Amino acid sequence: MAVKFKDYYETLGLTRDADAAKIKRAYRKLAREYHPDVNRSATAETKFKEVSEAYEVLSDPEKRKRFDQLGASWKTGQDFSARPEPPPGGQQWRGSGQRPRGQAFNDMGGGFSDFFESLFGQAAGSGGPRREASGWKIPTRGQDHETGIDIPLEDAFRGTSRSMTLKVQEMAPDGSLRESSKKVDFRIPPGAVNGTRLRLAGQGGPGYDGGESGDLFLRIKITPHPVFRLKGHHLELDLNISPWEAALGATVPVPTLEGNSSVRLKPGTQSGQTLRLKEKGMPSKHGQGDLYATIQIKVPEKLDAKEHELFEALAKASTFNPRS
Amino acid sequence: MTRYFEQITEIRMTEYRRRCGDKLTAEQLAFLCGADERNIHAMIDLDLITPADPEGRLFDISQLPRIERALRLRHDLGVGWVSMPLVLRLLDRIEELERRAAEPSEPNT
Repeated sequence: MAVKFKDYYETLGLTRDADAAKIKRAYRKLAREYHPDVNRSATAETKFKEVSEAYEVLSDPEKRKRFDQLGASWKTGQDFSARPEPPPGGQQWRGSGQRPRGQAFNDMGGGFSDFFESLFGQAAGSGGPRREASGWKIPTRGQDHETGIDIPLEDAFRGTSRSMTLKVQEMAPDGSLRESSKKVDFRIPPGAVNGTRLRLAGQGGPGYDGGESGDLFLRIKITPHPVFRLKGHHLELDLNISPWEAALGATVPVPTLEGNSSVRLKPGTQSGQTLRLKEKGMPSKHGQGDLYATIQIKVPEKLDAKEHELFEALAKASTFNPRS
Repeated sequence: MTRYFEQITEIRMTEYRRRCGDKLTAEQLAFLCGADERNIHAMIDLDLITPADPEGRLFDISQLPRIERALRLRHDLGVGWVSMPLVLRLLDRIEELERRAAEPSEPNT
């Protein structure tokens, strides 16, 4: 097969000794100008294809070496003939007839040039973010998966072991999707909060052609707690106290995730005031969080005779005006 | 002109509609465009993709062209997620203005 030689260095405007950074810079510069998403003209698309092809070769040390082996004497447009060889390292050659269904869009005429194919085999490129049909079996890492899990606050505080059954989507040899299920055991370390992501290495989608499996990411959500609210690694709660505890000062018990603690109220404590209990929050990388108790002064809804009498006496004797 | 990329996306959309309908999950979207699911979630966080149901689990296949465009801009031009909404908006705007400029100008009345 006689095809026209292409000088990929010329396409990117580079000299043969350009390093990887220079190649990338040249590609980015041309891509910004000619990318069909940015430049609507028909010539831009053709130009971008050439630039991508050149970058595909020159950015891959293996391909670049093979291209360089042709020598510097070739000029663009010269007739060229070469037999595609499988790359070294025992990778398998795969005929074009065995490409998985649903990935054969390359046949639409958007693939690389004949020169490229004669050098590297059919459509060995990766023209886009997706995995294109490829001439060689390239080990590809499986997809990362992500899923959510709800755990109660107490478990997040202490750490917990869980297991879950996952539905896994796999691609069958004929290209269709198949579902199976798989059980995964894992441990959630102490201190997980909303949005914590746990990585379970190798529990994601299976790799293709000998590639390793992807990872499974677990997004942790803490179920709302009747007493505590979680703010980052700090906890908040409402601490109810009586009017006389507020006025006279007192030591009152405060629940924490580690058990009961207590806090000293100063005489004259006000509703809405917040007290900090140091290091009674969630454990974290940056040390343990704190517990913030917001004071709520509660008044008895029903007074007995004695209480009524005392409040009456207080009302008469006191000069306190909260609205002054 | 219709670009090669867009033709491919169109074919993939038609094929998906024929087999499975209009709605799909983030995971299926990721699978369909061969992207990492984290990229899809990044786009959801940036409001580049909007869910088609109140729970935010299902998406309409018609958003595929935009998703693939964003993926291409990221892969080919290194546009980061933070600047992606701006870049897409500017491109949309430029295309709209170019379209308008190409139309015969309306007579002034």
